[in-house]
Amino acid sequence: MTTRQVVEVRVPANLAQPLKVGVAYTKWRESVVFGLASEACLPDRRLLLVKKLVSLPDSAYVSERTHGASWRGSEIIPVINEALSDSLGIIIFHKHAGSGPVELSRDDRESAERLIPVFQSVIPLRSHASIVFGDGHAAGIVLVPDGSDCLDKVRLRWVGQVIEDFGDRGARQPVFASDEGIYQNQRLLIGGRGQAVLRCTRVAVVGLSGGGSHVVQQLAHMGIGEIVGIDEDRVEQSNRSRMIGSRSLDALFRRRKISVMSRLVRRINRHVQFVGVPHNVPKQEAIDALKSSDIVVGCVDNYHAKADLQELTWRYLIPYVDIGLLIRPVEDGDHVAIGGNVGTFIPGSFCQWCIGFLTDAKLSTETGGRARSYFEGADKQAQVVSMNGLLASQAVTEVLQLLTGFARTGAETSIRKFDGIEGTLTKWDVGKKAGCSKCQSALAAGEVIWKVV
Amino acid sequence: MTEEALSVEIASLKDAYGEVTTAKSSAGQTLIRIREASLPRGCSPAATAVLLVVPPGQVRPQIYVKRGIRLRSGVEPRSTGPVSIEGEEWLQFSYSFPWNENSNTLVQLVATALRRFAESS
Repeated sequence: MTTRQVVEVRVPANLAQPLKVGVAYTKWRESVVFGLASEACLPDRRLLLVKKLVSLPDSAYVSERTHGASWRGSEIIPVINEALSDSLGIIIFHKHAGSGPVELSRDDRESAERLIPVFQSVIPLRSHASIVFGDGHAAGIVLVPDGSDCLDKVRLRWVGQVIEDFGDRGARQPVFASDEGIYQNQRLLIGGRGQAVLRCTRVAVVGLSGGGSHVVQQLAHMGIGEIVGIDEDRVEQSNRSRMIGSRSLDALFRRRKISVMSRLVRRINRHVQFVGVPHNVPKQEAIDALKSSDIVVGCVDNYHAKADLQELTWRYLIPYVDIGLLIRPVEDGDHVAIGGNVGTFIPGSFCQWCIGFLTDAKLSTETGGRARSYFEGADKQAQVVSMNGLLASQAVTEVLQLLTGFARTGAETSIRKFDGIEGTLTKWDVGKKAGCSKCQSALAAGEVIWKVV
Repeated sequence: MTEEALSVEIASLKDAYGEVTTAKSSAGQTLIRIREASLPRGCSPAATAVLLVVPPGQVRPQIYVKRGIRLRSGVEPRSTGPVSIEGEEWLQFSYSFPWNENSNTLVQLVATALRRFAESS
């Protein structure tokens, strides 16, 4: 079995609750929910990205003593038609009670092995699956497009305010003896399991200067398993006032920023992997690195890059933490305004377009009203290391929350606004904008299916 | 462009350029990918993959090529930039020529845009 045959099913924030409700038991039977999913192939696994849910009406179910959930065969035709019209795969979800490991019953498996090939015959270019989940555990079978036998290496991930992995994520990660003492105080907050989750997490940091270098440093101290640094630039003298880990020789020799970050991480903890990508988004090397990440932290200074990150993270259902700092004189020339933000954008919740962080007008202004091909990067702006560091620290705390849920909050309606004059970081309540076309089209879009003419 | 007209155009692209694949974008546009289109003499490499994005309605399709092309003079073309389309990197370039949806074809569009691309030093 190749690693490609590991399948990870991702459910975005807006569908998690409807799915949990939809599979809840009624008094006399189990219920199923059909997930319609796009997909993407990564080097180490295949992603099934749930785009929408379809439930059967109560009248579709038939009472049968030997089966937990049985329905009339004809009731599934609209589900197949909807999947076919959008070229999506079909995942049958149902739930088993209890908190221990779950598995498909013999009856579940026989039923799935009859249905899934039917789905494949109608929509051959997509994967189809049957998944059972309980509290904290999931199992299932998947038939991939080029496969004839069902695979059973299946993971399930809820992408919510906390990333919830159903299975044994973190349990098999080696705990290095030398690390035991390093994290003893941190473990008092996040526990041993939380520390193990950090160890098996890959976080991509885009932009490695003022904000990004702080983020990389803190992620390394925190014990993240793999940090992917994405930046094609080389160190300049002007970076040295705010780029953590940079030295005079780095600027003199014009070393790549990823090289400086690699050295920084190695000196903090040699068990933390650093992978440098010397390309900017949206170059393919950067896109590929982002796709394989569990969380993306954007420390970029232009709207075009933010828009690319927004689109890519939504497409593959990856939580995105964005930081931005703006220092500028106000009109009378005697004062400055210092503003910033830290936003955690959970796929399925509000996006940067929903809350006006991104607008077509802002993108157009960056290119002088011309096409994207004229975009040459943002103008030099004022930056101060202490303010970069403050926002970066909050961004890393957001990463910690996404991975461990230490704050136990379910709120999904705010971002943090920074006022550098007042020295405050305050919550700003925001929400998903109804009918936001950017959210709707990119969410769980996965990879397109090319058809030969 | 109607679905019927688009089918005819795609068939013409296949005749002109060989392998052509199509897909629907997440926003509902038609994507047409030409595996290999020859670039004007002197460009290196001599051919590139081409992507056409055909929006609904009477709008000129957008055209993209792959990164890494150098012109006859050895320099990279001006006014180009990478863009992500459906999770894949393409190179956007500037070009300007009249376009009439009723009388011009996609084959003409590709040929003319690539010629403009090669002149953009």
